[in-house]
Amino acid sequence: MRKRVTSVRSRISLRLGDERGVALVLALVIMGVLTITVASVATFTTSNENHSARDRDVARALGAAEAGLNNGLAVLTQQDSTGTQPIGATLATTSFTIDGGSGTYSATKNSGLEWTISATGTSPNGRVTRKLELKLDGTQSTQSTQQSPVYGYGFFVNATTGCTTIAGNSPVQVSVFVRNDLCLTGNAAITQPGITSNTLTVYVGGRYTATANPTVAANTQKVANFTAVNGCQRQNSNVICSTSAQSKVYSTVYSSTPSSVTKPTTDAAAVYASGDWHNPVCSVGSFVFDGDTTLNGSLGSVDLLQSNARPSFDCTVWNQSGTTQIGRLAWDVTTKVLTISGTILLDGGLTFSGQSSARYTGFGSIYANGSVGTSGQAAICGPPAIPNGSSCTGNWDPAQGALTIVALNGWSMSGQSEFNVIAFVNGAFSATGGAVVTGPAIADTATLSGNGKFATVTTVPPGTPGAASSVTTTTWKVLPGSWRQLLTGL
Amino acid sequence: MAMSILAIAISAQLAVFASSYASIGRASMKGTAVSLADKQMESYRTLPYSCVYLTSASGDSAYSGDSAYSASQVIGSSCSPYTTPATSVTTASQTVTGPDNRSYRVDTYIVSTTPTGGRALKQVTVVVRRVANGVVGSVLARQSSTFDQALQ
Repeated sequence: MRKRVTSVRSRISLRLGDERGVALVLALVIMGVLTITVASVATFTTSNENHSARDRDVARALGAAEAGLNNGLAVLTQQDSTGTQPIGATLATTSFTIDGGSGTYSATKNSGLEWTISATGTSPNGRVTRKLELKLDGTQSTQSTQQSPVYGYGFFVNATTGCTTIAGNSPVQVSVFVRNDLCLTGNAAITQPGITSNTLTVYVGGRYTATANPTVAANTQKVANFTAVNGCQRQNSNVICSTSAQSKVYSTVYSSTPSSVTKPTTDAAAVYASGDWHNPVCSVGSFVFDGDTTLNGSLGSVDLLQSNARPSFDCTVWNQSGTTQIGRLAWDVTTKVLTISGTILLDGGLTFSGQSSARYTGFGSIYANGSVGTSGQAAICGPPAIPNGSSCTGNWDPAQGALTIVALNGWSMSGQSEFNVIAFVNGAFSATGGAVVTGPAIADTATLSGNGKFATVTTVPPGTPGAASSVTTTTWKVLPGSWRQLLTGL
Repeated sequence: MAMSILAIAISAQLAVFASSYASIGRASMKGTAVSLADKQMESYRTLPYSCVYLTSASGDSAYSGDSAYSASQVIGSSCSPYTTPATSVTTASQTVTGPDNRSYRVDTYIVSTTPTGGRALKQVTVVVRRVANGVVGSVLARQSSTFDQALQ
C-alpha cells in the first residue's frame, strides 16, 4: 500500500516538474488578457466618439432653439408692436429650419405687456432636442407733438422772398404772418375785429410796404404786436414803423425780431401709402379716390359735388391690411350734407363747379393731389352754419366740426363763394372777388384782393399737416432672468 | 505555436490601439472645435444687435464654399454709440490655436434673414475647420443661431 502511494507521488512530481506546453497556456492567457484590453479600449474609444458627437448635436440643437426664440421675438415685436393684443393671445406654433437643424416656436401673452415664448431645436440628425423659454417684456412711452403755431394766424405765408399782396376794400381781421414782404395797396387794411383791441398779431419777415392808403389797425383799436424785420415803407419812403403818424401802423408793441415759425410740411406720399385708395369700401353708391395704384394725379380734377347733382355715396378707405380705417367721405344728395372723418386723399385736383352748396359734418382732412379751385357760387359751410346760395348763414364753429382742404398744387378762388374750411396750400393761394375762406389760410405765397375773411382755429382736424399728435411707442425687451431650458428627456 | 498566437494577438492589439489613438485624437479635436464654436457664438450674444457684423465677407475657397456663405452678408465698421466690437468677432475667417495647442480655422457667416411676419434678424453661423500643416481640412464643428434686436 505504502509502495503504491509512493508511486503516485512520484508520478505527480514528475508531471509537475515537466514544463512542456506551458508556453501555449501562457500564450492563451496573455491573449485573453489582451483581448479584454482591446475590447476595453475599443469600448472607451467608441464611447468617446459618441460623447463627442453628442456634444456637437447638443450645441447645434441649442443653437436652433435659440434661433427659435429669436424668430419668435422678431415676429411678436411686429405683430404686437403696439402692445394691444389681448391677454391670452397666442402665436401659433411655427416651424423653421436653420443650417440643417430644425425647430419650432410659439408664444402666449401672459399680461398686458408680457409674452412667453417657447422654442424647440433639433440637431440635424434628429438625435438631440432642446427646449427653451423666455419672457418678452414691453414698455410704453408716449411722445406728444403740439399743434403747429401757424394755425394761430388766420393768414400765413411761408415764402421768404417776394411780396404778399393784399388789396381790396374789405379789411383783414385776423392775425397775419408773412415771412416775406407784406405789400398793402389801395384801401387794404388789417384791423381789429369789432370793438376789440390788442388781440391781433402782425408779423412781416421782410419789409412792410404801404402804397396808397392802407392802414394797420387804428389809433383807438391797436393791434397787440407788429413786427417788421426789415422795417416799414410808405409811399416808397422809408418810415419808422412805430411812428404811427407816418407808417399808419397802430400797435401796442413794435418789434423787428425775426421769428422761426415755418409752415408745416406735407407728406403726400406717406398719406397715399397709409390707405388703399384704389379700393374703397362703399356702403352707399361709389366714389373714386384713385384712378390707379400710383400717386400720379390719375383723376385729373374731381368735381366733388357736381353742382349738387352727384349721387349719394358713403365710402371708407382702410389701410393696406384692412385693419384700420383711414378716412370716410360721404355725400347725401337729398340733405346736401357732406360727412368727413379722418384723412381722405384724392389723386387729382378738387373743384366745386356751378352752385355746389353743402354743409359738412365731422372732423377730417381732404388731400387734393392737384390744385383746388372754384369760379362759381359754391358754399361749403361748417356746422352749425347752413348754405344760403353762395354764402353760409350763421357762424361756423370749428369745435363742432372742421374740415381741412390740403391743396398740393395751389388754390385759386374767384366769383362768389364761401368755404368754412382750413386752407392748407402748397404753392400759391389766391382769393379774388367775393370768394372767401373763413378758416386759416396757410400757403407758400398768397394774393388777396377780395374779402380777407379769415379766422383762427384752436384745434385743427386730424390729418391736417402740423396737427397735434400723440404717438405711443412700445419697446419690447427680453425680461432679464427669464431665459430657461426645459426638460426634454434626452 | 504559442509565438504565432502571441504575434497575431499583439499585432491585432497594436492595430486597435493605433486606430483608437487616432479616433480619440479626432474626438478630441471635435470637442475642442465645439468649444471654439461655442466661444465664438457666445461672443455674439454679448454684443448689441447693431454690433453683430463682419468687416469683410471675403475668404478663401473653403470659406466661400460653405453652405452658409452668402455674397450679401452683414457688413459694418462701427456700431455707434456702442464700442466697436473686437476684431475676433468681426473677422470672417481666422486661424486660432485651441486649448490642445492645435490650429483651427474659425469661419463666421452673418446674413440678414426675416421670418414670415417678423422683422429682420441676423443669422450667425460659425464653422470650425481643421488646419494641418497650413492646409484647411474638413469641418469639425458648426453652430448656427439668430439674433433679434430685443435681446439687447
